Parts: sequence; structure tokens; C-alpha cells
Amino acid sequence: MRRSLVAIALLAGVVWLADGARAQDKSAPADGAKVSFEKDVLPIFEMRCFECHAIEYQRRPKGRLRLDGKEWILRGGKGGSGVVPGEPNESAIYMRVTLPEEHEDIMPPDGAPVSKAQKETLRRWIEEGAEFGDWDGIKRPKPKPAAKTTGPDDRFTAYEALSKDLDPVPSATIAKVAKTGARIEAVVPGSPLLRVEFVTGLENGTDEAVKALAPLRNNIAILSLAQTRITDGALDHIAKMPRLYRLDLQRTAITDKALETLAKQKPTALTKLNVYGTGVTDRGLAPLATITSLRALYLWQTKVTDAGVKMLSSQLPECRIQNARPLPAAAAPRQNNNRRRRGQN
Amino acid sequence: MRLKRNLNGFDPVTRRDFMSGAAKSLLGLSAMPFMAELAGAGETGAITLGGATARNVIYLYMAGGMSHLDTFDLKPGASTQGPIEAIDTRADGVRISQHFSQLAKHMDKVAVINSMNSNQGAHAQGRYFMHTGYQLRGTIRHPSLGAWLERMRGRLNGTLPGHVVVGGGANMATNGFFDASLTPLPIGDPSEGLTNSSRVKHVSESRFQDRIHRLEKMNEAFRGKYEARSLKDYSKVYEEAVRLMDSKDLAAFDISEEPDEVRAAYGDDRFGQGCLLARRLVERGVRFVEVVSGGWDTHSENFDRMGDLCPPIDRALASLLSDLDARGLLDETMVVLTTEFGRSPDIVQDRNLGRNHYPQAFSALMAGGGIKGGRAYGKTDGEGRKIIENPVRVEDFNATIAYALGLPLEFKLYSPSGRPFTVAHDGKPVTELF
Repeated sequence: MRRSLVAIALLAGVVWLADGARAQDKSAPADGAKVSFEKDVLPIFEMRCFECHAIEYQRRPKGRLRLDGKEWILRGGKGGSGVVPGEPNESAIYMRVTLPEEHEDIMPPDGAPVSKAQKETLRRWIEEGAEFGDWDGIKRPKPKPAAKTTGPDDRFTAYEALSKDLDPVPSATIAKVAKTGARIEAVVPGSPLLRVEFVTGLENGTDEAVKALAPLRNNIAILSLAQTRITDGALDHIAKMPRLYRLDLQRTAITDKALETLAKQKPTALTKLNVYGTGVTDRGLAPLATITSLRALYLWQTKVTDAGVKMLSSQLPECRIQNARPLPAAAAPRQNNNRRRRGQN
Repeated sequence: MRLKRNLNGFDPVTRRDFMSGAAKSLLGLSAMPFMAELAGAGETGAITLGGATARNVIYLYMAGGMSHLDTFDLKPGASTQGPIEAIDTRADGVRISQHFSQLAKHMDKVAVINSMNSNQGAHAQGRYFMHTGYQLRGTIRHPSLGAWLERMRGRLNGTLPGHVVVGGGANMATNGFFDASLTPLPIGDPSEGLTNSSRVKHVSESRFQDRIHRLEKMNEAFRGKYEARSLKDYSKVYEEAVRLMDSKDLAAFDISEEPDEVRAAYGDDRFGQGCLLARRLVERGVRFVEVVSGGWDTHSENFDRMGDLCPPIDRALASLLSDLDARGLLDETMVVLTTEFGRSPDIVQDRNLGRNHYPQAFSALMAGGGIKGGRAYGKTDGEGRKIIENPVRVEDFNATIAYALGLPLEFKLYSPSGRPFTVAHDGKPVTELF
């Protein structure tokens, strides 16, 4: 059973004090020059440690600790960093080699312990700041950029911020506007922010109907005009909604001009924009680069090119741009079709 | 007076059967097995409260008990694992069965729950529990989640049914003790869409209107005499049916409108086509769609059958997530995959390597609708036997869905006999998933 590093640190700390006192008597590398990693330390590692802690000898280095590269050494192993610059007695690499010979955790586990002079070299190297000079050794692979995941969901924080000092729209006003065919509700129960959409009666969703939303314009956070009959003209009215958080224009007749109109008004709250299935091109994407609040942009089935998406992506690095719908390839015809049916019991 | 009492005392199932039967025989029309009033929103728009992180739910149900060890909670090297291997996914640290190679590319959108726990080890009971959050009793029928949603939030699209079950049969979702109008619409074969939804040919339009009109006249007098709620339901069925017959949104049920390659991508089987139908319905404002996949009761030949059962799910779910995402629907549509229980870690040798029922620990998935994807929640021990981290009871699972939908978890609704019930039976939502 391996003890935790903390326990080792406590135990070995004592050992180090005793050991260090003795070592000082004898003298370490004589001159006052700094210990060189490459000349003084690396040979010790190579001789005594690499067998278990270098990729050259071990496909899976023990304790997940690798000593064959600067970044690997600094990363450390299972128990954390192996080297704490300036603190030999907190550095596992030093602690483990200075344990008493009979200790189960001593390194190296086989053969004679590291010599006193070598221990002192290690100690001094760490104490002097554990610098590596020009030596890099084997580099760690660059971590893959994490796949953009959905969430975390921050819409509640956004709603909260947007509804600050905002008065709810009187219900009589809402009822009046609803006569145009819009469905109007609070974004979350009790919020003064509104969601407006045309779920049924898509034919009611016209530029005129959007214009008629004017009495609600301060409160609209979500506006869905998906599949309605709006044109670029509707954007003149939409752009006047200061709390617009999410706008869905999918499968409408809008063009690049709509996005230009939208961007011109600097919609600072706009976080999600859906223009999938429209005639938008790369030219329409360009003005979107100014909407830095954007976090999701839906461009599937538009005329934008990969180059256009790449360009915008570099300008809006935090925005998730969805411009494809990867579907699995059709299944090969099944060889053994009767097997599935047998399943029911 | 006796008639009135009897009508009031009808339980929902009987009433529904009575009404749909009556409608069929009287109108030359196969009645829609649903009847709901427009709660809140009309076609011309209205005001309702609603909407939290999720507006819609696509609920994928693996009927029979899906083996957690062979799908989403693999234990490579354990004696309980068997031959199925784990593969890496797009989400760091989330590994799933080799049979889900397509889904693996979308696991950044999915949260795996590996600590599901139920106390019901038999199919009917487990299924009922999972759908309603309550245990099966002889004295009452509890509503399932879709019915709760429709009851509390109404419909988005007034001309389409509020919730739909594809390929499930009657023993899945239910309106429970709620009005018969909250009964889900069952669809048997998604490729056939909504059958019997057009006027029969030998009845002309004018004659049809005439019949409806005359029926209304006859009913008027009767309804005036007997003020029973069930009678109102009864006449609603006609209104709703007729409205749906005329609805442009009826096309939502017709998946033949989809391009061939899309239908092929979802998979040429009922589950795949059901998922495609679910997407079409959600797109048009149906808020709760359940799609059922059967055959997961792998008491025998468990490993062999995983090779048949999983690929259709893999293909359909990968397509569904991708499709919803491309349309900007995923962040408001919660996709749930669940089952009544897991399967025993111990492999039954004498039945060609089967697994038995195992409610103590099993797996489920949630994606979209505000769920933070790309990770696993909860943990079982090294052999998939015991939950060792963050157990999620069935009630908690349902509460999580209800929470995402913005339903008030403590709000009590009363059964006809006056007993109080809540949407998720006092379960606690797993808010860490959001």
C-alpha cells in the first residue's frame, strides 16, 4: 500500500533534515557555480530513473511520472508535481530518493540508493530554482482544444441582468399586440422579458406584424420569426429591440442586408442568431463580427462558405458556429435480418 | 340523475374508449384519440407563462430494460463486462459501447447518468414508475410527464396534439387521472403517420358538415340537462378532430416529405423513423414526443442481441442530435433516453450469456434543453453493481426533466378522489447537469 505524498513528505522531511546536515559536512559540488540541469542532473536521471520514467524504456511510465522532458518533469506524476522550485523538501523527486534505504517508497526501488553527492546535486538544483537552461527534452503534445460542449447554460444569468430595472409590459398591451397573431409569453415564469413567436399561423408573421411589436420592444428577449413571411424590412424594427437575446430568422426570405441592418444597431445582448435555411452569404457574415456578444450562430443550409465561417470564427472565437448537419451514412443492408425480430420476449 | 352520477364516476380510460368509439360510429370518422382544449394559447396568440431551459422533450424509451454495462457504463476488464468493448467519444473521459460509434461523435452534447436507481424490478411496474414517478397501484392511475407538461403549460400549437407516443402502445405514457383530453396521441407506425385523419371518401364535405351540425344540435339539449365534465370532453373530440383534419400542420406527421438520405440516416426502422417524426413534430410545436424501442429484455443472448439492438439507436440518436443542433432546436429541446431498469452484472451462463433485471443501478442519457453535455454524472463500482457516487432516483430523474421545462415541482394537483400529487413525486432535480 503506497502512502500518500503528504505522509511521505512529513516522514521524508525529517529524513532530509538529518541527511542534509550530514551532506553539508561532506561538501557538495565544490564551486559556487550553479548546478546545471543538463550537465549535473540529467545524467543522474538517465542512469537511475529513466528505466521506469522515460518513454524510451517504458511505454507507461511508472506512477505516470516522466523525467525525459522539461514539461513532463514540471507536470509531475500521480502525486502531483515532482519538482517545486526552491523547495527540495516539497519536491517528490528529491523526497523519494532521500528516504531511508529500507523504506518501501524509496527510489530507485532496486539497486543502491542514489549517492550522497547526487542527492546533494538534486537538492541544490531544486533549491536554486530547478532551472533547465536550454534543455527541453521530449516535449508534451499540445493539448487538443477541448471539443466545444453545449452549455454551461448561462441564459438565466443573462435574463437576470437584462431584466434589471425593467418594468413588465401591461397585460392589456400584450393582449392587444397578440391580436396580430404573435404568441407572447414570459421567457421564464414571472420575468418581465418576453418571448415572441409565430408557432401557428406563420402567414401572420409579416414585416407589419414585427412593426406592431413596437410597444413590447424594450421587453423582447426572444424573437422567433422562423418560417414566417418577413423580409429584410423587418430588421429595421427588430434592430430597435435593446434586450434582444435570441433571434430566430431560419427559413425566411432574409438576405445579407438583414444582417447588416442588425449589426448596425449594435445589439449588445444578442447571444443566439439563427439564419439557417436563408440566402445569407459570406458578405452577410462580415458585419456580424461586430456583435461580440454572439455565442451561437446557425448557418446550416445557407450560402456561406467554409472560408467565410473560418474568418468569422477567428473574429468571434467564443461563438459556436453551426454550419453543418453531419448525418451517419446509410446503413449497409443487414446480413441477418431475422435476428432483430427474435428479440421480443 | 343516475346517468349523471355514472358519467362523473367514469374512469378516464373507459371514458376515452367510449368517446372515440362513439365518434367513429357516428361520424364515419376515426376519431383522434385525444381531445384537448386550447390551454392558454389560441391560434391567434395569447398570453401564458412558460419556458425555462427546455420547451420540448423527446423521450426515447428502451422498453424491456437496457443493460447499462453493455451501453453507457462499461467496465473494461471486469468479470461482469463480457465481450463488448468501450470506445472513446468526442467528450473527454466519456466512453461508451462499441455499438455507438455514430453517437460517439455527438457525446459532447450528451450527459450520461450512470447512477440511475429504481426500486421496481418488474417490467410493468418499472415502466409505470419511470413514466409517472409513482408506483403502480390498483386504485389510481398517475399521469406521465407529457400529460403533466400539457396540463400545466398547455400547448404551443393549438391544432396539433399536445403530446405524442410513437410505437409505444397503451402501457407507456398516460393521462392518468387528468382529463381524457390529456391522453397522448399514439402513433403505431411512424411511416404511416397519423392514420384515419382525413374525411372518408363516401362522405362529402357538405354532408360531413351537416352531420357535425346535426350532432351538435342533438348534443346541445343533452348537455344542457346534464352538466358533466366528461360530456364536454365528449364534444371537444369532434371540434379537435375537425380542426386537425383541416390543419396545415397535419403535414408534420408525414415523414415521406423528408429527403431519402435523411430518412436513411435516421435508420430504416420504426425507431429511427420515429425519431425523425419526433423532430418534425417538435419543430411544429408538439412539446412532448416519446419514441419507444422494444426488445431490450435480454435474459438470453444478451451480448449477441446488443449488436442488433444498439445500432438503430446509435444511428437514430446521432442523426436526431445532429439534426436538432443544425436547426438551432437542440438548446431548447431536451432529448432523454431511459429505460425501466438495468441488467444484472452477473452473466447468466446457461442462457447463452443473458442478463436479468437489475433496478439497483442503470444508465440514462440527457442532452439539449440546457443540459451541459460531454460528461458522465454518477458512478457505479468497478463491476457496475452498486452506485458509489451521486445516485439519481427515478423521481429525481423526472424532476430534472420537469425542472428543465420550468414546471413548478411543488405544485399539487388533486386526483378525483382528492389526493394531492406533484409532477415528479417530490424528486430533487439534478441541477448539476445544467
